[in-house]
Amino acid sequence: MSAAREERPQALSRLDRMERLSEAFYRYGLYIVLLALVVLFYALNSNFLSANNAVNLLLQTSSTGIAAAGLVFVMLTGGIDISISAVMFITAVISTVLTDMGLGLIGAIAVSIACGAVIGAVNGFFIAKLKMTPIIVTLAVMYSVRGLAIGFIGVKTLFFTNAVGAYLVKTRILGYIPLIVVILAVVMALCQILLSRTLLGKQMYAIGNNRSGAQKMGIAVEKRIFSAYVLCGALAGLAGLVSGAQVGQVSPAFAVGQEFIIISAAVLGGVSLFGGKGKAFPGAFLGVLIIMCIENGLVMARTNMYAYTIVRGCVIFVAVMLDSFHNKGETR
Amino acid sequence: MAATNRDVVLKIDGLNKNFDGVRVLRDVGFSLRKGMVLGVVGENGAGKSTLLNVLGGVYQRTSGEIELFGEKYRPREPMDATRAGIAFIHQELNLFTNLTVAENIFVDEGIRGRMFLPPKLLDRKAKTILDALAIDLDPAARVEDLTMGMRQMVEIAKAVSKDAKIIFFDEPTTSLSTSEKETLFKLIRDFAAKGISMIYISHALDDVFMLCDEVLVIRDGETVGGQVRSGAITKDEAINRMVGRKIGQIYPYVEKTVGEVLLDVKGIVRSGVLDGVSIAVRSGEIVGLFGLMGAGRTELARAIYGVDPFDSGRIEFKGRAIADPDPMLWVREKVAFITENRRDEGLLLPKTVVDNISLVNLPHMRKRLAVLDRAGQSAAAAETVSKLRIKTGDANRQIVRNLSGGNQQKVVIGKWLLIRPDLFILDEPTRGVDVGSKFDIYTYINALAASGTGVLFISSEMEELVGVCDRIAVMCGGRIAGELERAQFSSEALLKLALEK
Repeated sequence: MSAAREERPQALSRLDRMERLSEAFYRYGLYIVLLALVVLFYALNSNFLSANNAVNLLLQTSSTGIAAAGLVFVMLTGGIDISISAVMFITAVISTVLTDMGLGLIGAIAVSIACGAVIGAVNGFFIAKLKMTPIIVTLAVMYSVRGLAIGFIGVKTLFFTNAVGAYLVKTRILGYIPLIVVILAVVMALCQILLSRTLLGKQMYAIGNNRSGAQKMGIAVEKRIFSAYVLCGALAGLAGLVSGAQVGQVSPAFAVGQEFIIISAAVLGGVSLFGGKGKAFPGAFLGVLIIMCIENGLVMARTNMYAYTIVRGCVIFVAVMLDSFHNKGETR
Repeated sequence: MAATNRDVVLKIDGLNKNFDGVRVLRDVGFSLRKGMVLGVVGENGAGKSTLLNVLGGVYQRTSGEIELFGEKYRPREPMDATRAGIAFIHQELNLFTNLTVAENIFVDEGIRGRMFLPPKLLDRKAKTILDALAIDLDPAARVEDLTMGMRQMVEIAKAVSKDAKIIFFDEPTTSLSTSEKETLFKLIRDFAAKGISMIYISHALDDVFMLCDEVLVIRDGETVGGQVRSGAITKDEAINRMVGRKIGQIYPYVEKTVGEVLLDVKGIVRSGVLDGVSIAVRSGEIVGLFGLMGAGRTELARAIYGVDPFDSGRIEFKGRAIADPDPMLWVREKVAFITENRRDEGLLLPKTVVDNISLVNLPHMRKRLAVLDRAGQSAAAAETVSKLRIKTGDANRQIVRNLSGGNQQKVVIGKWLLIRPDLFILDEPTRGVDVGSKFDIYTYINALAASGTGVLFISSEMEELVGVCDRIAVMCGGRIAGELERAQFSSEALLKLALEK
């Protein structure tokens, strides 16, 4: 072996430098961005940092955060799920109808999660077993599920204003912390434990990194991918219930486009579109928090409402660009 | 042999393996005893890796008996081999770069009786395994941050954690540094002392003779001279057996007039891959480039063609310095390159024969308003099809994916025909190609050279290089180990240069 093989004193190419930069960004960048945003919006409106607005911000983060935590499983395996918004819509519809008929909160949570899990299982079946492309399968499921729900209620708006909805939205634990924020915290904790401390989680990371290797090693790749979509669907179902109760009304346009906010929040939080990288907490959570922070802050600064979409677009662009540099040459 | 039958852990008898009717392994037999290291050597494509893949459950045997620990053994998938106590360290490691060392060791089965796998527990368990092997690695380190040698240690530790009784190594040292190699060899000796048996495939004959108790030479899928003690045979004898005396195929060799230097490459360096390579090709000359796996042949071609970057060195073409080579520039200079990997890099598989053949020449096939001249395309393609004797249906409709390997390769070569290249770089143009197509390809290369084109012909098949080339350069460890003129050609001489360390 030549000595040249032992060391590589090469000047960093521009691409390498971009890689370094994105590496650093993923380590501390999210916190820096969040801090910068907080300072900026506080300067624009001092109410931004009031206790009230902080709790408000967390409430805004909740349903998106819950769905994003579920999406992390899918994205780790290298997949994507764009049926999330439709799942949220149908579970919001179902829980509104059922709670109106007398179902309690625990029952509504169970039904939402179960309903989401079933839709996730449909996604998982086609993607894991039949090896179809995730984006196409979940796109088809997105349209079918939304159509199914609209067919069920007709083109009208339901009002989720019964006692269950009110209880979910108004309850404060210890007199201060909203129940919904507690639900978000529990979901985040459970997901992150599942990811970082169980075999299932480790194997999902492995599959996203080297699928054929995982297969050769005897990891049940199909089952793991299937369960990722089930988990994603289940949490999207829960997110639908929470969001329905928060908004108070469920129209045919409920949560339309939400999947892209969730996906971009996850990517922003360091969950790679290429699979194998990312965390539910703090990663995806921080991503959602930053996006909500921008919206909340822009509202408080009384900017033109079209600015939200422009800023959101820019944020997504930067996040995906960094993700691409970050993953150069590792998905081989 | 003093060993009793009980000591034999793996016994193979009359093993055959066919791929699509082609015999890759023929009547192979050997036995592996407890604590023994068996070296398997042979040329590229002799069937060494196929042998291990059959034993490791990657391929199924066609016929023959395999006995493992005294029982019939017929693995259907790699997992069967793992369960039976066989670990396979592939040339390309099977690790997850996004996970830590400890996570990689336990990711397939976890730890029995544990639902939760906190990092500390994994690290502790992994540390025990690594310590027992005296491998100095941090269990919490991410695999992407490790060198190739360290990664290999992880894979070995993983194998041992599965309680492997037999370990296969397929070319384990190709990407290791000298000190990493020493660590690996020490580990192999420790394993042997502990009663683990190993099969060790390598082109580095010195390593094989130093490390292995017995050596098995394979040539064209057959064992030559049986299983012998490594002291009972010299390196030269082994090389003789690897090469053998084959019935020479008939190669179409034509006399050519060699002209001016076309391509002059001086001192190309790419850290860790190419170590100051110089080579020249004259017009009308066919220069062979031989070397064993990992010698840097493909890397050299890619560096010259500007597909991969290089750190230093000079490239001159027709006496002019080419400062920053890139494929577009070479196409304008009428220099063609056929990559080793035709399916991925050389063909548009779902497109037709005509589309593929006219690809390189598209800029010259425009009518007004940049509309493509379909009729012209078809006519030009038809000429290529007949010249290269490509067996295809209607070339306007035939999808390339459905052609045979040989005909696909002719399409790859044919697409360059239309620009009449001045220099043609071919990387393994006949790999996976049937004999008839090979002959057509050789004939075509000869015709090109006779019309003044310079050819750089990269191949692992010594025979075809000897048959077709005017001169052969041999690479080894990222440098040119030597050059042979036609009068000096012999398989022994080539292999000696290629094995020179």
